[in-house]
This record gives sequence, structure tokens and C-alpha cells, in this order.
Amino acid sequence: MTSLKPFHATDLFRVNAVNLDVLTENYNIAFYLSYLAQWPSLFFSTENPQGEITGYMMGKAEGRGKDWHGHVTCLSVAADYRRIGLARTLVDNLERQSEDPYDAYFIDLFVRASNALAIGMYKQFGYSVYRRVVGYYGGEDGIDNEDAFDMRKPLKRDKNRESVREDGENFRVRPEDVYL
Amino acid sequence: MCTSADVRGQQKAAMSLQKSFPRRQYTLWTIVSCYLLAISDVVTTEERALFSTLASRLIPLVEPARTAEEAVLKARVLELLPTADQLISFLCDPATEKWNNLELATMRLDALVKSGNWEKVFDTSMTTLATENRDDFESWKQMAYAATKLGNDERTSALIELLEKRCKTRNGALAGVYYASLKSTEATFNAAKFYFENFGRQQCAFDDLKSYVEALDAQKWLAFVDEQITFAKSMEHATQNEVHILVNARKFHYLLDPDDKSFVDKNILLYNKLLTSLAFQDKLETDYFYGDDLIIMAATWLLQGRPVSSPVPDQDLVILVIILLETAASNDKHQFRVRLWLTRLYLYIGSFQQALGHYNALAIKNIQMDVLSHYLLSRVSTICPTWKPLISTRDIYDSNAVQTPYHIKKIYESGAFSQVAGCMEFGKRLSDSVNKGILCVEAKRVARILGMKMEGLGINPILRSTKWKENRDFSILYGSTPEETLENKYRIGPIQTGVWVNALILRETIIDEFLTADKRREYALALKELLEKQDLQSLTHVEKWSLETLLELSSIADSATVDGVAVFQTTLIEGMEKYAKLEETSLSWEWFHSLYIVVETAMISIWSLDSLVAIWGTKKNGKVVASIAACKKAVQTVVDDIKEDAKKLKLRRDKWVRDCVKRISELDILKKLDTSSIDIEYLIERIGRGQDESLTILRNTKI
Repeated sequence: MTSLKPFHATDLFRVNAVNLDVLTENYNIAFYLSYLAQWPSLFFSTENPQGEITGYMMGKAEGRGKDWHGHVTCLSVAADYRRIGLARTLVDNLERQSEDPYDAYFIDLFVRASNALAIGMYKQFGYSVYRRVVGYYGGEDGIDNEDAFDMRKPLKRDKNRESVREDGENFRVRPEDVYL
Repeated sequence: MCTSADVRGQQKAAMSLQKSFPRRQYTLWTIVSCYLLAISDVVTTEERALFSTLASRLIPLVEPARTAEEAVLKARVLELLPTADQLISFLCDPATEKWNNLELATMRLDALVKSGNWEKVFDTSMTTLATENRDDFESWKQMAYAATKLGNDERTSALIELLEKRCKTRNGALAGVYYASLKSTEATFNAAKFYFENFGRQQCAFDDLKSYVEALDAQKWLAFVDEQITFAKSMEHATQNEVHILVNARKFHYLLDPDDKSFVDKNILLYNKLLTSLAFQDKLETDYFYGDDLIIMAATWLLQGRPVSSPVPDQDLVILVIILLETAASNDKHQFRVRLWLTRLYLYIGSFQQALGHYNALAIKNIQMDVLSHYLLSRVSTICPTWKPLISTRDIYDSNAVQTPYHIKKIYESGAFSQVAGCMEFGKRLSDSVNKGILCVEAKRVARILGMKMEGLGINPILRSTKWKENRDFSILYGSTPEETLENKYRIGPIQTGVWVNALILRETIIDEFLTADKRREYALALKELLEKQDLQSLTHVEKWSLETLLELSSIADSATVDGVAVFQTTLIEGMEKYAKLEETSLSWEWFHSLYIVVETAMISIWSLDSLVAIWGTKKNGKVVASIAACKKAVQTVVDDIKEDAKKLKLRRDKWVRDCVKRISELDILKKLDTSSIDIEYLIERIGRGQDESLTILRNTKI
């Protein structure tokens, strides 16, 4: 059973079932609060009927002109609630919000080029690889950096689908070429 | 004002700005701050009504709302009014709905449900689910409930039609179960059956159904779920879906058949077989293996003392459970529920280093430090005094003091009004966290026991007036629910509450101010009152004794006589010997806890008496000074005996390990487990080494 709920700062005390997972980063206070301060409607969670948080989405809106877009910063689902469509629910809502009220052209996210599971999932959601950001994920001591795929999905405002391209896996850019 | 969380100050400042510079932004700030005051605990009932009214009267000055956040603010203010009419009217207004805002949508449904306007609840939920195509369980639930309340054929038909159309979605199927539960047990059974047939392969199936299933015929339900367990090839080649159905079925057995003596044996045998399954072999390293829950269930079954086919002696129970869980952990490195239990159980038997290893594997950091560090650091100064994990946990509170007020200001500036109240509460809860209070006290005690410098560790006695906030999560431990006492049973003493913190703050303050007579008396009196009037359930017996001993010391400082010192010596030694009694059978957190408190109390006693003698110089009666010297000598003797006993325990370690390995290996339950991934003898040896480390620290304390 999944209900979507807006996220508030006090929910940070309740995300343990999600954040104890090895893949989920625990950010410092400033990171979470800055998202709540700037993009409150893009930070939301899913709950089970016991009121326990089972997943959450941290999103933001950024860019200028035709680069104005929604962005998936962090999507995390508790281990017991995986493979039941929660990620889809969270991403769908971010897309909805990015279209209205943010009126963005597209949504994007960064994913490790080796993360076949996540890439496959987002492709099922209609995302495609826009470009390969070489060495985006820094390894320890600057060695073994890993590439990221910048994956995108055009929204209603992008009628001509200018925000996506074919064969993005081979379109290489450097991290400094990526807007903040 | 944001920095000090002063809501009154915020309101006054905002009001001044709004009057001096009637800008829209300052009017909004005034409304926000009035709202914050109205919902705070710093105002009287009359003030609450006043600020609510003030906020609602300012709303027209900023209409129409320019952002969804302003609309949320208006809704929050309208929530404060005595009746819900204006709130509902505003939330259901198409102009409000056009904001497409989750906060407003949530408030809308909540307000309608609270008002009992079931027609509107039904229609709103139907719009969400069917028209907007948003699959929200809360909407499903309220629509089903509204249909039942209304008893209206048209709406009931519409509900049933939608349920049938969406029965293959998880929310839809579960909504069907919920709706059936409002009808009859028979209907609930059929709906739950349908759900499990379609979704039993999902890990969450058990959690989704358990509250409904508890009302059903247990045997009938268990027979059904057992029928769902099938394997295309064999159990040893089970796929992920097949494993999930199997484990979910076992979870229902755990829930509904608590007297099954064969439960643990069956779970262990199933787990062994599943280690060769595709589900286990093909999983990513960062995925969890759901089969681990078979072991966790077996572990918690044993810990609860439920029936088993071959009994386990009490002295070996926790170690047996540790072996079960270590087996699961060795096969599945990232399973946090296993590691949390291991952290708790190792601490329970006083093997801190092993607990630390599993705790570190969880990579708990930032806000989690406040919520989860108690799993490792509860009473750490008296289990295995350790500095590094204790100090690193305190960083979050320093960060909160800076970051949260900064971001509250940002929220005012950016107009994210839906977040102000939450951020203010967040900041307050961290600032007044009882865990923070505990860690402050523990840091001082650890430093004392380890002989470290105490500069910078002073505790402000004013802190004891804090309304301590409880943020700790005790329910994340598998098998622990508000109704269960399992987590309670294996906790490191009673939960340390605000009373515990206040008592220990007073204790530390008395120690710090021991030579300043008026302050010492003031805090001693406060401690005495606390011990007499407050609920002391959060203190262990030996902690209470230690506090009472300090009060006696304070009396000695006031008026030391030969007889007084002699009486103090007698009661102190009696208490020390009582609480330091060596357990021959097995070590536990309780024994270490008692020993460390006894030694710490001895330390404080001797230091205090020495300080008094130093202050008195030659002015005091020589007989009193001599009686103090005798007292110190008696205390030292007891401490020496404690250290000697600790040494003997250490020297008997090899025998303890051999005896333990022999006993454990002969347990029938363990013989059934595939322990090829762990070395039992090495594991037990490490338990012993962990306990020995605590013994070593104890023996190295300097009185």
C-alpha cells in the first residue's frame, strides 16, 4: 500500500528503513534542508499504512532557457519495498511537478555507467541517455573515476524533443561541461 | 530569532517589519510567525486564539496566493479556526486545486475525512484515482470507507467497478482487502487470498496483509499460504519470486502459530537449502537476500523464548542466536537488520568490539547518529568506555546549531512556507535531543574512567531544565513493535530518559563543584529532590546507588566526623561488594555495567575525599583525616579485589572458550545450520576477546 506524502524536515528522523541500505547516502543536515527550502514540492515520500516511510524522492529544478529542467537528485526505496513500482510512483510525481508548476522542458538524472539495473529501470520509464560524462564519479585518490550517463526524458513543453538525442552513450563530455 | 528558535521574537520582528515597510513579503512573514506561535507550546490558550485570529485576518492582504506555498500557508492558518468550513471550501476550490500541490491535496483529503463529509471524500478520492490517475492508497482507503458509510448504491458500484478494473495493481488489490475487511471475515479472506496469489512474490506482501490476516482463521490462512509455495525446479534452484513466497508464508507462520516447536528447525533447514538457490546466487552484492529473514525469524523466535524442539540452556541462548545471525551476515554483507541485532546482542553480552564492528558496517552517520547511535552507545561508559565513536556522534548537534537556523532563514526568504514549522521542530528536536544529553554525560564519564583530560567537557547544569526530546528509533529492530517486548528484553538497561540525563547532569555538576560548598549543596539538594520525586525507572539499581553515594559524600563534605566517615565507609564498601559480585556463569552487560559504576564511584569517592583533605590542610581534626585515609584504603582494597577477579576471568578465558564451543556445538539447533561460512570457535573466541578488552580497561583504571 503506497501513499504519496510531502516531505518535512522532521521526516528525517523516520527514514531509517530506507537510509540504512548500503546504497543510500546519508547526507548532512544542510543538504536536506537546502532542498526543502528551495524545492519543497519536489521532495516527497511514499508511506505504508503504518505511516512508515518506504521511499523518497529529492528533486530540484534548475537551468536556463531550454535547459530549464527537473532533476532527480536522490531516489531511494527501502529494501522490503523494492520491485513494486515505488520508484515509478516517485518519478511520475516528480515529472508531474516538473511540468506543473515548474513548466520544465525535461527531467534528467545522473547514473553510473556500470549501473545496468538503474539504467534499465529508467529506460523503462521513458528515459534515454543524453550524454556520457567522462569521469563524473571520482574514485578515491582521483583514480578509477567512473563515467556517468546523463539520462533524460522530455516533458510536454519540449514539443520538438530537443532535449534528447540518439546514441547518447557515445556523446562524451567532461564534468566541467555539465551545468550545475 | 531563527538562530535561537525564538518564535515570539520572530513574530515581533516580522510584525515590526510589516508595519514599517508594508511589503507583501513581510506580511507573509508575519502570517507565518503568527501561525508558528499559535501551534507552539510557548503560548497560553488565549494567545493561541489571538495569534490564530491575527494570522487569518492578515491573509486577505496577500490574496490571491501567488504560489502554491502561499496557498499552503493560508490552508494551515484556516486549519487553526474553530470550524473547518472555510478550510474545506478553500481546499476544494478549483483555484486551489490548480496548484497541483501534494501538500494541499493531502490536507484536502484529511480535512474532508475529519469533517465526515463522505460524499465529498468519495468524489475527491475518485477524482484522484480515476481522473488524475494517481495511484494513492490513502485515497483508495478513504473512498472505500466513504462508500461503506454512505451505503449508496451508485457510489458503491463505482467503487467496485474501479476495484475490479485495478485489481491487478498492488494498491487496488490491497484496497480490495481493506474494503472487504469492512464487510466480513469471509470477504476479507477471499480478498487477502486474491492479493497473495497475485502479489505474494513481493517482499512487502506480509507487511501489507498482516493486520488483516490476524482477524482470520489462522489455520485456514496458513494452509492457503503453504499451498502457494511452489518451485518450478526445486527449492535448491528457487527463483527470487519463489523465495519471496516461501519466506512470506513463513512470516505468517511466525505471526499466527507461535507454539510450533518445529518452527526454528524448519526455518534453518529452508535457509540451508536456499543458499544454493538462483535467488541467492544471482543476487547483486548490494541486494538483500530475503531468505535471511528465515534466520532472523528463527533468531527472534528463540530470543522470545517460544517453544523449540530441543531446548537451549539460558546461558547459551544469546551466543547461539549470534551464531545464527553471523551466518546470515557472512552470506549477505549488507543486511542491516541482521547487523542491528548483532550490534545489540554483542553489547548485551558485553562484547563491545564485536558490536562496534557490525555497527561500523552499517555506516551510520549524520542525522542517524541521533536516532540510531543508541544501539551502540547506550551506557557505553559502563560497558566498554570508548572515546572515538562517542565523540564523532556529537558532531550532528553542532551542525544542527548552525545549519538549521540558517536554513529556516532561507525558507522565510524563499517563501517555502510549508516547511517552516517542520524545520523549526526539527531543529528543536535535535537541540533538545535526549540522546545528545546522554552523550554529553557519557563523554565526561568515559574521560574520567580512561584518565583523560576533562577540559571542554563541562556540562552546564542549566541543561537539566531542558524538555528533552525523544528521537531514538527502537522499532527498526526486526520483531519489535509497540506491542512486543522483545527489544525491551534485550536492551542495555531501561531506556535512558530525560530523568536519567538530569540526574547524571546533577551528579557531574556536584562533582565539578564539590569544593564550592554553596553550589555543591544547591545541586545536592536538587539531586535529592529528583531521586525522591521523579520516576526513576530509567535508572538501574547500581546507578541509583551511585547517585545516593554521591549525596552521602556531599554530606561528609558539609560536616565530616569520624563516625560519619566510618558509616560512609561501611555503606560504600557494602554497596561496592554487592554490585561487584562476580558472575561465574556468563558475562553480561549488566555485570560490566555494575563493575564500572562501582569503580567509577570509588574513583569519585577517593578523589572527593582527597580534595577535602587537601582543602582542610592542618585545620581539620587529625582523627577525621585518619578515618578518611582508612576509608580510602578499604575502598582501594575492594577495587584491587575487583581487578584481581577481572584478571582471573581473563586467565580463564581459554577454558571458557573451549567449554562454550563444546556446549554450543552440541546444541541440536546448531547442528541443523550450515555454518560453513563461519568459524564458530573463532567467533566465540572473539566474543571472549571483546569482553576481555572491557576487563582490561577496567583493570587499568587508576583510582
